[in-house]
Amino acid sequence: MSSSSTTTTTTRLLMLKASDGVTFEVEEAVATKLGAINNMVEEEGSEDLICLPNVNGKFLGMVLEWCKKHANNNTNSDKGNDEVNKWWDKEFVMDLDQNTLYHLLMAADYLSGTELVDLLTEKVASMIRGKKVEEIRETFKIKSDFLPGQEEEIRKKNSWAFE
Amino acid sequence: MRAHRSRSPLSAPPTLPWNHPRQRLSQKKYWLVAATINSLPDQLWVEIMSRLPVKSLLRCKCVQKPWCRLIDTLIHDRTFVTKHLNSSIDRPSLYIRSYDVSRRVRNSFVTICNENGDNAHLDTVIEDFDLSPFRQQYHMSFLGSHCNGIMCISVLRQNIVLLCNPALREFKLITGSCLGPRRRIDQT
Repeated sequence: MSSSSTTTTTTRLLMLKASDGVTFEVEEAVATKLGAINNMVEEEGSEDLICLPNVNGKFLGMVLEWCKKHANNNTNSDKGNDEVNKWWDKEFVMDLDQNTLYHLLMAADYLSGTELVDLLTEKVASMIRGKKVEEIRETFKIKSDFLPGQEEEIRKKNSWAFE
Repeated sequence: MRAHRSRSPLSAPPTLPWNHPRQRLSQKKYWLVAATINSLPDQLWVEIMSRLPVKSLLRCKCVQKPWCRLIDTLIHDRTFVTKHLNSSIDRPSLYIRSYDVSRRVRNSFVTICNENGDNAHLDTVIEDFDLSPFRQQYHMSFLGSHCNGIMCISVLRQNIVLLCNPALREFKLITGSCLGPRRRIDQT
């Protein structure tokens, strides 16, 4: 899987290589939305192939897709950008399965994509907020490992939170 | 022609001072393993937890032992508390003091939250918190002042100040305060 963006003579392209060897050619303005890549470009220039040994091609592709969308939205029109981005972000996180969500989150964190980390951590938080303990366990498929009585003790300490 | 020289990998993210034995994914080929919420690194847990209201944090303590340990560490960590406070600024609570027919005082917090991120649907959460154990013992003045989510209530005619963290329902009585017995704490 390799992605190429529409090239114009003025935009510089960066070559990114994921851990599984998949390479991406991305506009510099898009890729530098990621803090880690921005730092590398600033320090070492944009000529070389940038190797990202901790990100798999699938998730790097998704992170770059998000960056591209946001970069495009921000240049297209002045008004309503926030609305467009918000709407698009909502669509982006809506159908993510948990495995993809966590891998994507770790990839975004590794690449210092602060805005994307914010979006994805908020998604995880929304899966916890307002839920009861049993519902949280069910959502994340987690089994309780408390000894009998231990959980009740915690509940008793802050009983108001469990009403 | 472009020289394809590989660069050194990015430095590893900083590790936090607390350690909890959650399931970890090895660095090699981690994407082949199904990731769960427990495989997220500490710094992402901090991000997620700082977005949760206190009630959810306390509930999370009951999910599993590692969750409990992590949250216990976090709520005593100054950096996390500041982070949590900053993200709670988006959901301010209104403190309401009312009297019922038998003139019993009721302290409540009304929080308006916009959890779906759209403005079409706003939830209102009303939570009562009980100051009666202190009221029976002390004659308390009106709410004096508040700062960063901590309320300060003075006890009349005694040199005592009650500090109260309504989010955690925690109280601290400070006896022999430097304010002196006759001072009333005013809004600042």
